[in-house]
Amino acid sequence: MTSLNLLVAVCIAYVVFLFGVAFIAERAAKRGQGGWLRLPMVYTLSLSIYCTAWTFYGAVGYAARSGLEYVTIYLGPSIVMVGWWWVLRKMVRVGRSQRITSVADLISSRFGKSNTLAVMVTLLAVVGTTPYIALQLQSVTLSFATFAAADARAPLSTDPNSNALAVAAGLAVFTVIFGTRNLDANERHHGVVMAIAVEAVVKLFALLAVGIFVVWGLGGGVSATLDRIDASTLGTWQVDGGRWAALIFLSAAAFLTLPRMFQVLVVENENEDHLRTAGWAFPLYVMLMSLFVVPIAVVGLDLMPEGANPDLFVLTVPLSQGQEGLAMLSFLGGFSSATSMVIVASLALATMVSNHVVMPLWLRFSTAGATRSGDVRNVVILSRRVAIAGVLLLGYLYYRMSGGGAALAAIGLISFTGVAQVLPALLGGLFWRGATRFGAMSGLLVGFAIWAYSLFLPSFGPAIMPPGLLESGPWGLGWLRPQALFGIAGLDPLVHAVLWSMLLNATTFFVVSLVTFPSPLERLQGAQMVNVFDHSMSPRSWQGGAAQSEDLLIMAQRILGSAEAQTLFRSEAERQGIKGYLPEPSPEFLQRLERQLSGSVGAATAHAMIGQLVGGMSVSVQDLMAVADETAQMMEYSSRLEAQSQELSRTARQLREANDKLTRLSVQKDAFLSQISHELRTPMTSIRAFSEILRDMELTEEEQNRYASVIHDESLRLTRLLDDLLDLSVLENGQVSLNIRRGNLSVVLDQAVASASAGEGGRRLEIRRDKAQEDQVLASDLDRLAQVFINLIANARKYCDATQPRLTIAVSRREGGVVVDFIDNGSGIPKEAQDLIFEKFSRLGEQKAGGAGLGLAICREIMTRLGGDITYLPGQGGAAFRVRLPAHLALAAQ
Amino acid sequence: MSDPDQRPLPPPREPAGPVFLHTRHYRQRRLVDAIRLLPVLALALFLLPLLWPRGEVADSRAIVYLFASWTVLILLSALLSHRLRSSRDSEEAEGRK
Repeated sequence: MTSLNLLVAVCIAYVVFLFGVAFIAERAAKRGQGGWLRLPMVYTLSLSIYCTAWTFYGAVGYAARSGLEYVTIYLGPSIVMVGWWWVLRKMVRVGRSQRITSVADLISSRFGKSNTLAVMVTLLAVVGTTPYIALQLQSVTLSFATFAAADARAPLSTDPNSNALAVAAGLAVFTVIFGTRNLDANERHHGVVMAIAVEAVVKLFALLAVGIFVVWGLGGGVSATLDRIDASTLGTWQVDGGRWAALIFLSAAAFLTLPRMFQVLVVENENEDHLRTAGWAFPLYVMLMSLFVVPIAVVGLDLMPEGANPDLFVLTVPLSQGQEGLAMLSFLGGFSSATSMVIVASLALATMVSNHVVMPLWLRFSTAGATRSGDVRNVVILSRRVAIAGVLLLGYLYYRMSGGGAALAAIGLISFTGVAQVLPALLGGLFWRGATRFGAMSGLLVGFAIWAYSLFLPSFGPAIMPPGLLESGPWGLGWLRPQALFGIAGLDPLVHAVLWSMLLNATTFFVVSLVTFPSPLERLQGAQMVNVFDHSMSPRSWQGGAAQSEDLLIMAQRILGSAEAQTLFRSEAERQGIKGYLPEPSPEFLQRLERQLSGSVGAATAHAMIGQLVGGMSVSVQDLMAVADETAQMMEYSSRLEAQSQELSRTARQLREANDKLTRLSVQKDAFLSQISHELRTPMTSIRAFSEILRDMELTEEEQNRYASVIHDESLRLTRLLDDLLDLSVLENGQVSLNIRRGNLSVVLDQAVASASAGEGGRRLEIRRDKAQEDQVLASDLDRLAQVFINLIANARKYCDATQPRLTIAVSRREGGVVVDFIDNGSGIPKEAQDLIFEKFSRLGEQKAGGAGLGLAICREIMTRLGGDITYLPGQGGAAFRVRLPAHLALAAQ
Repeated sequence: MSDPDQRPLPPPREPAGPVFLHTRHYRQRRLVDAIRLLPVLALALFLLPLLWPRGEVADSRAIVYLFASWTVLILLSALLSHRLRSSRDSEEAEGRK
C-alpha cells in the first residue's frame, strides 16, 4: 500500500516542480527570451483549466449517475472553439485593443466605463465562483481521504478540514507569488500560464493512463468494453432532450463568461493567431479528456462495491487493482486540475475585485490623491494579494459550511448558470451598437435574481429555502414557486432555471436597451468594440524588439530632439549591456521614456504614443479624451497668454500717450509760468512807468488825465486777468455754486451775441442763426452758459482770418440732448493743436496778444460742471466747436 | 434649427473594397466562410441525439456516433485553419468581420 507519507512527499515534490516551472518561465519572459512561452500549444493547454477537478473526478461520477449527459459539458466549449471566428476572435481583439483585464472590465468598458456595472459583474463572478473553488478543495481532500483510508498505517483521523485549509493556503501562496509579482499593464502572467500548461499535460496524461488501463487492462479491448457498456445499467440512451440542449448551451455560455476562462482566453492571449490552433486543438483536448469517462464509470460500477462514491472511481479503480503508481498519477492529475483552476480563478477574481472595488474606493477615500505612481502600484499589488487570500478563504468557508456532501456535478452546474448571466450583456455589447448600460444592468439584475431564487438558494436545502416555499410559492402564490415559475411545472430544475433566467435576462437587456439612450462615451466605446476590425490594426507579433526600439527612437527624436534622444537610448542600451543605440524595450525603459516624453507632450499623449508603438493596440477613447484634454489646456493657456500680451501692448500704448501728453503739459506749464509773469509784468511795467512820470514830472492837466487813465486801464486789465484765473481755479476745484434757472436757448444766444458784439472794433462778424431750431427750453445755469457762448463768439471774432468772417450757430437735438455748434469760415485749428486748445494759457501762436488763453479752459470747466461738454469739431471748413448740453437738462425743461 | 428632412443627404458610401477579387483572395474568403459555418455543423451534429428515442439506442452506438462526429469536426477545423494559415495574406482577411 502506498503510504500516506509517500503521497504527501510526491505531492510536495510536484508543487516544488510547479514552482520551478513558473519561476523559470517568469525569468525567461523577463529576459525577453522565452519564445517557447508564446507557442500556440501553450495557449491551448492553458485553456484546459476549463477541465477542473469536477471534470477529472466528477465526470466519471456524472456518467455513472446519468449516462452520456456528461459530454454536454465539453460539447458546448468545443462548438465555441470550433467557431472561434465568430466570437472569440472579436473578444481577443477587443481585449487587446482596449487593454481589458477581466470580464467585468470588458463589460464596463463597453458600457461607458461604468464602474457600477463592473461591480455587479464582479459580485456575480465572486458568488458564482466561490462554490466552484470549494468544489476543488473538496475534491483534493476527498482524494487524500481515499488514500488515507487505503493506508493502514495512516494516522486514524486525518482531518479533512485541515487538509483543505492547507491546500487553500498553499494555493494562495503560489498565486500571490506568481500572480502579483509584477504589475504588467497587459496583466499577463507567464509563470502561471506555463505552470497550468504543465498541469494540463499531467492531467490529460493521468486520465488517459487510467482509461487505457481500464479499457485494455480490465475491459479486454475496445469491443469488449463497448459490449460491457451496453450490458451495464447505462446500457441505452437515456438522456433527457431538454437537459441535453440546455447543458450544451450552458457550457458554451460559461466557457465565454467564466472569469478564469476569460483570463486565459483573452487576457493571457499573446497572439490572436493562436486561436487558430486552439480552434481545433482544444476540442481535441476535451475530447480526449472525455473519451474514457464512460468505460471507467462502467468498469467502476462493476468492480467497486455497492455504495462506493462514483466521483472517485478514477482513484479507487486503480487502487483496488493494486496499481498504486497509476493511482498516484491519477491523484496528481486530480490535484493538477484542482490547483490550476483555483489559481487562475482566484487570480482573475482578485484582478476584478482590486480593479473595480478596492481601487475606486481607495482613490475616493485617500485624501492625498494618487500623486506618485509608485503609491498606487503598491496599493494595487497589496489589494490583489489580499483579494486572492480573501477569495480562497471564501471558498474554504463555503466548503466548511456546505459540509462537502453534495455531488460535485450539481455545484458545478449551479456556478455555470450563475456566471452565464453575463452572456447577453457580453454578446450584445460585442455585436450590437444599440446595447446600453441600463439594458446591461437590468438584464444582469433580472438574470441574477432568477438564478438565485430558482437555483442557487434552493441548492442550500431547507435551511435557506423552506420546503413550503418550494411547494407552494411565497405567500401561497403558486406561479412564483422557485422551481415552477409562471406555473410551468415538471421541468428539470436546472433546465427551468437556465430557461427562465436567460430568457428574461436577454429580453430585459434588449427591451431596456431599446428604450434608453446611451451616453456619449458609451456610444464611442460601442462603436469601437462592435467595429473593432475596422479600427484596429491587423494583429502584430509581440516579438521583434529591435524594430520596436527603432520606431521608438524615431519618435523620441522627433519630440526630444535627436541629440537628447540618442543620449537617452544609448545610456539605456549601455545599462542593458547592449552596444549601439537600440536597447530592449523593457518595461523600465518604456516607463523612463514615457516620463521623458510626457515632459514635452503631456502624460496622456506620451502614453498613447508609446502604447501605439509598443502594444500594437489602438488608442482607446479614454486615451483620446485625455489627450484632447491636455491639448485643450495648452490651447487655453496659450490663448490666455495671447490675451495678456495684447492687453499689455494696449496698456503700453496708453501709457505712451499719457506720457506724451504729460510732456506737452509740462512744456505748457513752463510756458504758463513765463506767460503769466509776462502777462502780469506788461501792465505792471506801464503802471510803474506812468506813475513815475506822474510823480516826477510837471504835467499839464490833460497829460495827467491821460496817464492816469492809462494806469487805470492797465490795472483793469490786470484785475480781469486775475479774475479769470480766480474763476478758473474756483471752477476746477468744484467750489462753484450753480444757479439753475429755466429759460430759452434762443434768449441765451441773443444775450451772448449782444454782449460779444459790445465794444466791437472795426471788424464785423456776420452771425448766421436759425431761430426756429433755437427754440429749446433749458434748465441750467444760464449765465454760465452765456459766458461759454460769449467766449466762443469772441474767439471767432478775434481769430477768424477770413476776409469776410462768418459764424454759423447751428442748434440741433441729438442723442437726447441739445447740441450747439459754432462754426466759422476761417482756416481752423491745426490738427496737432486741437487737443491742447482747451488747456490753460494755450494760445495759437503768439501772433495776437488778445487774451491770456484762459477762455476755452474756463468754457470746458463750465460745461463739465453743467454736465455737458465742449469739443473741437474737425472737418467743418473752419474752426468749429460743439457744445453739448446733457439730455436731462433739456428734458427737464419740457 | 433646420427641418430634419431638409438636411443634406450623407454622401453615398464608398464600396468597402473591390467588387472582384483576385482568385487567391476569393479562395481565402470562401475558406473563412467555411470556418464560419463549422459551428453550425457542430450544432447540427451534437443536437441530432435529441431525435433519438430514449431507451432504444445502445449506449455504445451513441458513444461511437458522438466521438466520431467530434473527431470529424476537429479534423475539419484543423484542416481549415491550416489552409487559412498557408494562404493567408493577413491584410485582406482582416478587413472583414
